[in-house]
Amino acid sequence: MSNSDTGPAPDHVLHIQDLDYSVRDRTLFKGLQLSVGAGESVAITGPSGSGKSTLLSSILGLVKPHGGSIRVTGADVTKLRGKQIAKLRSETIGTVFQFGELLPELSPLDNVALAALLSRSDRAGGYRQAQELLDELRVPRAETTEELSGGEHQRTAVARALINSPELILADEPTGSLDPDATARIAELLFDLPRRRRCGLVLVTHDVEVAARADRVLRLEAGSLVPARVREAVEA
Amino acid sequence: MSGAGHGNLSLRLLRIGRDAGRRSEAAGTRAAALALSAFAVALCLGLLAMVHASYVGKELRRDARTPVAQTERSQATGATLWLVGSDALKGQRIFSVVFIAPHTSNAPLPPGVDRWPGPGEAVLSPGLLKAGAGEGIAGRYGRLSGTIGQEGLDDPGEWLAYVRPAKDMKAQAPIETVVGFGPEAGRPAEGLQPGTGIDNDKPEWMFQGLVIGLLLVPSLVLLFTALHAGAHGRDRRGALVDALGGLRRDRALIAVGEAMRPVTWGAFASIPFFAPAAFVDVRVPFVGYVTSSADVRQHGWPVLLAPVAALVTALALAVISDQLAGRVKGTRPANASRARRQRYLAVLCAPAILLASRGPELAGESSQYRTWISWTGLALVVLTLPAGVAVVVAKLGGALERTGRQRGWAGALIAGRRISHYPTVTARLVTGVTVALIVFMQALAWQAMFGTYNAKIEEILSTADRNVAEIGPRGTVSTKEAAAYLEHIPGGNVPVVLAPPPTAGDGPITISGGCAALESLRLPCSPTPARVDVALDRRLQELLHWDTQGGTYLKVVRADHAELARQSVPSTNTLAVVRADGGVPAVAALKEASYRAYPRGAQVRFPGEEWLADGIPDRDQGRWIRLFGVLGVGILVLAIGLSGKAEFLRQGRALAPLTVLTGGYRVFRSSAAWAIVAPLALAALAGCVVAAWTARPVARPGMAYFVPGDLMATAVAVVIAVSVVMGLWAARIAGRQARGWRA
Repeated sequence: MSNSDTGPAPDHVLHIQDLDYSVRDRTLFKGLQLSVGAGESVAITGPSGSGKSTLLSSILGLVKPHGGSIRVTGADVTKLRGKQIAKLRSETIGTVFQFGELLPELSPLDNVALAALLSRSDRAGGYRQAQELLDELRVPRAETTEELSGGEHQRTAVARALINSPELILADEPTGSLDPDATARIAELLFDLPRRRRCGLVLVTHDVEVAARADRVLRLEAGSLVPARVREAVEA
Repeated sequence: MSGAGHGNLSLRLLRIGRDAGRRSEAAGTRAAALALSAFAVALCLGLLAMVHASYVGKELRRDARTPVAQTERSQATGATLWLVGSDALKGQRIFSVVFIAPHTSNAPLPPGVDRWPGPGEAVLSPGLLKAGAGEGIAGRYGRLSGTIGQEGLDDPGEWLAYVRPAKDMKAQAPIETVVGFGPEAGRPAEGLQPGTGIDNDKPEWMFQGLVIGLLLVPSLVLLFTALHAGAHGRDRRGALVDALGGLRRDRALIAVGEAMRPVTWGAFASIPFFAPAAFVDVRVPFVGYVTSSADVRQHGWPVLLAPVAALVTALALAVISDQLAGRVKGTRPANASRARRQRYLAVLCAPAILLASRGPELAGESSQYRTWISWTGLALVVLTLPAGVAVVVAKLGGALERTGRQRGWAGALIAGRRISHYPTVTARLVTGVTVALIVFMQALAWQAMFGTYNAKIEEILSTADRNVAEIGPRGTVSTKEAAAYLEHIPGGNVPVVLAPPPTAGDGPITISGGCAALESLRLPCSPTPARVDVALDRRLQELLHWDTQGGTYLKVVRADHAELARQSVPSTNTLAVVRADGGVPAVAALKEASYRAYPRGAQVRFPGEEWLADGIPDRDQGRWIRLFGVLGVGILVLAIGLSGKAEFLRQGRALAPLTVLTGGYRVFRSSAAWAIVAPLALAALAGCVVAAWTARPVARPGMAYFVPGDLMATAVAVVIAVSVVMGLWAARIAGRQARGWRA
């Protein structure tokens, strides 16, 4: 794996090439390159405001870069519009947000099943699958997500990210709001996914312990991703 | 993707929306407000349909009862003699009294009259019988021989009388010969229609405009406010659905599912309020207008669609609100902002105010275009003024934040930060206040337009002495008929006759009467004519003020009934009646007597009353505006309370953790004062000025309307008082949430 590939390898689930993006007078990405293979995990670190979350937003198609391409399972996200990008998000990408971003007014089951419903998959029993995933991740049954602890909250978010068997999982500070025990359990859960499900994982974190579990650790610096040793990447 | 699967998905999303609606922030408040607003919108739409049905029904019945005059080419053999007169109940609008008589044996009858009344008999409308019961209207025009059926009336409450005089009518001017009624009988004759509604009723577009402006717009504001209660949670949900790959359609389904239940309940709860109007004639409270159930059944079928239309409107607005919430721009969806849209709307505010206040001048004197331009401008003001206030408040918020930081005022710091960062919240908070002020000022302006003339005449006449009645016989009368009338004058009431000078403006006004009358008027009663230079009695002063054509002094002549009868015949002379004891003459009895003695009765009224009569229909129309205005402002007060509560809950949730840091609740009070009271007070000031300015074009041509200064000051004071109450309420909610958070 290198940062200077010119084309996606057949088993790459994510291939970013020459990505440029700036906000006002601040350059976030300048010729940024990144490829992630199936079954591979990549941790991205960097100082606050360096653009880590914006990079994930760009991969999701929520932010339009000013140049370059982002291919997810071969499809260029920067060129997709409307329903196409929605289909890609729902079927191919699973996302775990920093605070889970579950809907408080819905049950954990509804939150997970919602992602299955939005993917419009033919697979029957989105609710059954959702319940199985929640059971597997040991999330208790509850009327609303407000009844869950922080760790249960994040495990529900992971279940939601997995419900459509995505080929790429994006995680934005997934352990940022958890205690050490819960952090360890969620990290183990997340980094086990590429191996068990043959998907790619891109995880943004400040947590050195979490980053250390990834196959590769990259640091976002001056608009580019550079390989980093774990300790220095996090401390930067 | 199978069709069945698609349907299943839609149902699932609707269900998720429904569950979200039950458990979201301010769920109970929102559901109640949604139900109430859907109910109000359904009522307004139903009212629009009923108003239309009423106008259509009236038009058809008016056409059907319009006489067709006999011409040389008339084929019809039957003919009726026809003369339209008028009368009035005390202090009420004029109504038609139509004198009819068969000219041939097969004379046609007007619609609603099923048989010919006999000579000296009359047929009255039920509404007139009821309203004039106190004046003995049933016997005024002769013996009552029946009532006019609804098919012959504008509306069930119309006042109308068909009178067949005791004496024969002659087919000569001004009496017309008519050969039938309605378009089927031939070409209707203009000017012969019975009824005063055609002259008094405002055009349908104007009435519908009042319903829309004073009721539907406030109802939509309430709906808008209800939909935005707890908007923060919904924005976040929409953003998340976007991020998970949901389509606009998915968001729409969730939004529909969330609003569906309360909106359905509210919209269909309106049915019991409409249903009776289709079966019985309903008297509208305060206004007194009686609706026609027949019209509702025949022409008011769109009423049935009102609940469905309200439901669709509410759900469509729910979807539009959700879609307008914007698309997420990052993986932290909670940060979606609508501040930019508020700035765009605020920029449009000034042109909208200009259009509403000065635009009508562009249309010249064409009142219809004037009104439409004014209303278009007003609609734009309603849309943009809250944003304008919010943007100004946001700017002030920055200064407040700096001041708070410099001086260590925590409340000012928090409130300044919040109001400068969330202009949308401020806009929602002040929408109800600004719209309520606009509706209030518009209602006042329209009320003034309708009622000012009447009010001015009332004011002038309120100082006048009403203890004298003038008797004006209709048509030409004979001395014998005049004598008969004088014989019928009830006891205690005494007549005098005033004759103008022989040459206008010069010479004496001659006043003739018996000694009882003359002495009552503080005039000499001598066998020979006496000169009086100054009238001392107020009743006499009134008579002279309104009716004489000049005259430099009074010539008092003692006269018996025969002489008075002779003198009262010329139309230039005035027959007046006073009570010998100075009291109020028996007007109703004098009217009734006139129909016994004179062929077509007489006008009986106090001096100057004819001026007042012209303004009475407008005064009555003004009651609709007061009714609609009060209801509209009531709906908006609900909207203000609702938006307030929703925003307070949100603010309270955000501030709750502060209590741990401060250990007290003072910060809630001070931040509520800045974040709630200050924007509402500013909205009150701006809203009052803008509302008053945009109400100026509502006036009769050539007459500008100005909101009185003391009224504006009162309105501002009331809204500021309401702001303070809401600020206290907000602090209380925040305190309660903080206590809950600590627990």
